[in-house]
Amino acid sequence: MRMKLLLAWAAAGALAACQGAEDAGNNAAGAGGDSSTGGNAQGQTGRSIGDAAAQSADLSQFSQAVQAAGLTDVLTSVGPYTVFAPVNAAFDAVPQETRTRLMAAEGRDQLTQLLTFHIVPGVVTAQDLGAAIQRGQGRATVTTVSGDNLTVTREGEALVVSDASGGRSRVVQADRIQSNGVIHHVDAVLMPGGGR
Amino acid sequence: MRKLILLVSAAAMAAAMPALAQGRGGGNGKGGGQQAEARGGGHQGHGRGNGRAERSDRGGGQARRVERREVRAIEQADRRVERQVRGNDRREVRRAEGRDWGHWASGRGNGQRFAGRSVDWRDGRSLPVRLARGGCPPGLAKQNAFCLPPGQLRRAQMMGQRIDRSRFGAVPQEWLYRFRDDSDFYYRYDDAGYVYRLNRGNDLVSAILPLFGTGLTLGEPLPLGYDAYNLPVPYRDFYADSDDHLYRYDDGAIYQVDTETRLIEGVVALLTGNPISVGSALPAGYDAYNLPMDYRDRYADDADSLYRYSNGGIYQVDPTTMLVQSLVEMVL
Repeated sequence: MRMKLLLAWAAAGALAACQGAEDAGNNAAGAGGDSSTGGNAQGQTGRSIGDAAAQSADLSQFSQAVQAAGLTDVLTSVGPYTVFAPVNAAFDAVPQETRTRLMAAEGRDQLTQLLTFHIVPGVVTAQDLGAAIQRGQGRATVTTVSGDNLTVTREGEALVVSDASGGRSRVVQADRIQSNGVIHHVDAVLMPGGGR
Repeated sequence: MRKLILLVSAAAMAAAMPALAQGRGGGNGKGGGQQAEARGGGHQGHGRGNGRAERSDRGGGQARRVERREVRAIEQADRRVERQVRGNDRREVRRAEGRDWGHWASGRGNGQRFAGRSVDWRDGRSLPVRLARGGCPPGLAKQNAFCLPPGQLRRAQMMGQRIDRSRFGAVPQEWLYRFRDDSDFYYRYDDAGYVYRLNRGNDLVSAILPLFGTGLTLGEPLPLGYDAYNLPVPYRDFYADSDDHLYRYDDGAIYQVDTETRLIEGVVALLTGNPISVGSALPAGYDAYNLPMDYRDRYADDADSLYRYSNGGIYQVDPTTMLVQSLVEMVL
């Protein structure tokens, strides 16, 4: 299994390298306009969220986690979802012991909880978040498929997603629009359940 | 995790016998559990037998010994769980960016859907409410130090008891991988959804394990109680039962099941745990416009209406009252 994952990882890295710039993601995650007036976002591809993540070098650990949790079918099916996908550096910041435990078979439930905490129903673009923050006088709340809420605020031009215990992750690449939703890359793993 | 679940099983089961079991206890005579209950002390409310329940009512010494054993079994299981949790806590916990991942991963920091199940189990051990003083909450019957739904008493009273395993059925084939007789234990089934673990040396019941009500777990057989197709309407066109796969909804997720083996293969869709419903206030968490791309031209927020997506539908919301006015379109 681990060997398969490593092979998949290597393949994913190669693919991502060939792709160059991934999709039409905006590195400036601020986008303060109001997309809720309609109109398709730019760069929608025929790929699913799951496929796009699997082919992103910077999301290889996230993609492995999705695979380990048995959520691959979710992110390649109808959706639609908004995924705040932690980049590899974000996973590296989680203690190795915890990561090992989560990736083991007995940690699958908890891994699923962790991942679903980063998935929001529907398609929420950076502009949508910006507009909601504006309406909400500086903050917006989005509900995850795990039933928890995330708070989104703005720091300068960047969007910051926070969990209930104050953990913060910054959107470092926004609006990778896919066939079944959108991916935002974030720089930290959020902790479900109001953990400390 | 699995060990933790098993450790608490005895305690949790003694307390948390789902109400479903109550209606199924009066089986057809084939079930060992039914027979064991009648033999070992059926439940008065069902008019069968009179064993322990009646003895308990008589306040006899044997009943008190049974009660003490039952309490001890639960408390011992509790202590084992506590030891395990303390052991986890003692492990070196490294913090990343001020976050106590060790705490979270040890199970204390969660308790949500999906992964929360292990914690739910742990919490479940306290379900038989220990009464400081006074009576039980409505619907629960006072039994010694505990308050339990009446139907749970029968099985709770079997913990620590010696039973005639020949009167129980065999564990269903699909669960044998998990509950197969070994050098320490026998496993027997009561045809009502419970496996009884008996100490091999003395046939005492050391655990009562449900085959349903534990949620759906990847890689395990579909538990009892999920025979019927139960998907929310918007998802039925996408996930219909076939010769190859069954699809079942549980706890915010749609699971794919192998039709032949009935093993749960994976999750294919996640539904929000905080859905929108017409006539209600828009729940928290829908501050941001979230419609699928293909529908944004048709349903854009304006001064008169907001539009939000939830579980396959687009809902119209009054921006003044924030009440959900209607489901304007199903989009799946």
